[in-house]
Amino acid sequence: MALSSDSQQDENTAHSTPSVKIPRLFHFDLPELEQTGNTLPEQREVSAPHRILDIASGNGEWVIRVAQASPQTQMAGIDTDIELIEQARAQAEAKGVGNASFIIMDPFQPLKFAEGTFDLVNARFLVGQLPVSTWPQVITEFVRVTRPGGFVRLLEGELPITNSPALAKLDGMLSDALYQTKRSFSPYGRLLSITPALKHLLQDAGCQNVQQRVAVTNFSADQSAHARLSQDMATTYRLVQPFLIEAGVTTQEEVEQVYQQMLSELQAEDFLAVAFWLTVWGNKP
Amino acid sequence: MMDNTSSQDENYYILGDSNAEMVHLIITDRHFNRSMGGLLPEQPNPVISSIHDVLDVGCGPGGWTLELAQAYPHMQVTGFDLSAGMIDYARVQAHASLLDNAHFFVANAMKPFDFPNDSFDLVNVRHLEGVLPVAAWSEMLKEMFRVTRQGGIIRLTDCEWGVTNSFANEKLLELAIHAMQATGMSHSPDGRNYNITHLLSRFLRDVGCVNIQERPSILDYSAGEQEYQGGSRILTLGYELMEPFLLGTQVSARPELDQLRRQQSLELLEDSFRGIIYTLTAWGTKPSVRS
Repeated sequence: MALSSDSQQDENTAHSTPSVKIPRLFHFDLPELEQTGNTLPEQREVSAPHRILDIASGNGEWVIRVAQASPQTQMAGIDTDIELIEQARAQAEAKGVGNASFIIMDPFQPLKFAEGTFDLVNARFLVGQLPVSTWPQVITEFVRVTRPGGFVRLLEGELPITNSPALAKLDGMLSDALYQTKRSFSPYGRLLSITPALKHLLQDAGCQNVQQRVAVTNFSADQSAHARLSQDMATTYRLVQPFLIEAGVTTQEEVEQVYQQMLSELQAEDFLAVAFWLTVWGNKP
Repeated sequence: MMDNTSSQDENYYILGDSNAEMVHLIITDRHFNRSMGGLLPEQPNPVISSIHDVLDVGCGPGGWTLELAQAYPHMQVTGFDLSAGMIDYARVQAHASLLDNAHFFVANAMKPFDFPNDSFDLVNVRHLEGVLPVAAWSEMLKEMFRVTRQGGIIRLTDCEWGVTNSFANEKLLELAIHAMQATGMSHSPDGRNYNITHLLSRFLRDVGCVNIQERPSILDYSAGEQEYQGGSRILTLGYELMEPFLLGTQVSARPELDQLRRQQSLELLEDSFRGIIYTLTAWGTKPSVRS
């Protein structure tokens, strides 16, 4: 909100362009996808799209799963990270997936695709990877490369609700650091506040019939999603440590200590965590 | 006025037991019931048909209880609450709506329930976040389990307190969470979230339920949404009522609170206001002895 928060944020922008690349923070959708094999669970009446673009496709996990589930669909993933692109290509080849291609391209700059190229542009858990101020133009670009009648689909989550003090502490550091670097939708960093923003981002970019679906992923110790998501949390908080330090919200010493504590709390028998996330989608008219 | 040692009975309603509080709960009920997509949206019709006796624990002014009795005449629905004012209101409503299958009485959810074992097909409790002390949950769950019939359902619904882009609203939320922590009402390890939804399934598991499932819902009360007016009203009225609690726990002082509440009411009016409340319903079955 362009309210009182802006002036407060401006005073504190020493590190607004982090030198450390921020990875995809969450993969809250993958346990459900792995369990059900349903790649677009919210799309009840849409036949499988022919051409799908996945934004910041990373190691290609989502792209490859969808490619396997719908062999008629041509999948494209774009990412700036050459290593990840090569990893994704190798995975696709190893799994014999012929309908997925991975392209080195910055997903947050004007896209090197013609207008209306894709039936679906899919963007999962981008929060943190780009400044709040650039979201509108980035989404507008997603809409441009979508064909009329096609749709743009965004997945984003808030930080998990947990009983692990160390995970909660790291979540808090991340929230603060994203706020300091203008990557948080929160007015001062209490939470990420990305999820309430999505619907209007799509509407403002010209999408129609914007709808949202809420999901919860319980990755407590006794849940089937625990193995997968506790591993994801461990990876995320290993990769973002340099960013947290650079943003000035913690020190190397502190973050290492809290990280070790988190690893052990994630494995505790009484570890509890749920994550709420939204899928928001809209049609290009 | 409020400290950690004060009697929990006296402070059962942190907002005070008043008419304004009742209005607040009535509006809240209506909006949550709608945003959740119905009264028992997760239960398939054959299950609903097999439910005859329902207990609603801490029913407040009876919003959900009354709607359930009205929607399903085959059910006998009983609600209880600590507040005599709330129960009076619920009884008057039941009478006015000619509902003879809705019953209300005054009782404390933190005391043993005055029912024999195996009395109900569904035992429901909603929105005890900020009402029930952390320490009281497991005893309450045991009582809920005891009065549920074998094969019956125990159902818990609670919410995190919302995610908004309003500076003042976020600050007020955080103050409320800190006050809850100070009075033993919040499970939050760090004071950023209220922290209840991660516990619901575990409560059910620990008490002995099987086949535990979860269903999330959202109340989107961003500017321009259908629930905007109601959601804004819940927030402004909620913090007005909570003021004595926030002052009493000394998490804030009057000048700061007054300023934040003024700013909140302005920010809620902005076209750019965005707000979502995440709610989780978890339910499980009481196993039959043979299984």
